[in-house]
Amino acid sequence: MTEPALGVRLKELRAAAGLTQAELAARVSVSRKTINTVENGVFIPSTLLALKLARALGVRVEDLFYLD
Amino acid sequence: MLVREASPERRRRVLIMAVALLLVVGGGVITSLAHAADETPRLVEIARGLAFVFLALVVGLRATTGFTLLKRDPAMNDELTRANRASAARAGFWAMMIGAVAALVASMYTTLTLAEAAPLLLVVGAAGAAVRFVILEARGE
Repeated sequence: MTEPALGVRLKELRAAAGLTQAELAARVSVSRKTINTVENGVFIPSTLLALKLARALGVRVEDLFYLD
Repeated sequence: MLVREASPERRRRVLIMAVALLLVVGGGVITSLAHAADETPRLVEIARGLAFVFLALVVGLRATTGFTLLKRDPAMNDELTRANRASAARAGFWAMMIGAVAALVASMYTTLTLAEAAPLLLVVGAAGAAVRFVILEARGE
């Protein structure tokens, strides 16, 4: 049985909120590079960062990330 | 808050510095091997060795920790960068282990003193960490 992968909807929800990567990064106090790597699935954020991202976008964490 | 990020030029400088350290120390080790093992090292050779060790430690420190003498934007030391530094530290550790095995094998065929092997091992470890850090940081671009 294969391990489930992490699905990410960050890019779509960020675009829906009308934010650039840099703007979202500023809101959660991380670098733009971090937002980019989370959106591309290269980096799995910590629980704290996931909660910050959800709050910054006004959505639930489960809307941002899911098990694929 | 204005969010800054490391420029590609800065990452290239770190990589070039790491490679240059490797080449210079490698050349220094090869040169020193030409001397007899029981010769007393000259002051200039001691100074050169200590300088390379210092440079290697600085490069290794910058690649694996957030230590800095200058006040920087906290966003430049976020969890992604900390994770990259941890990975770089692991890479540096294994680079140094492989270097130690290579030095052990080399010592079976030629005289290799600690003064000759130690700077090379330190530079290999620091350069391995720096290269790994640069590669990981470049992924976000």
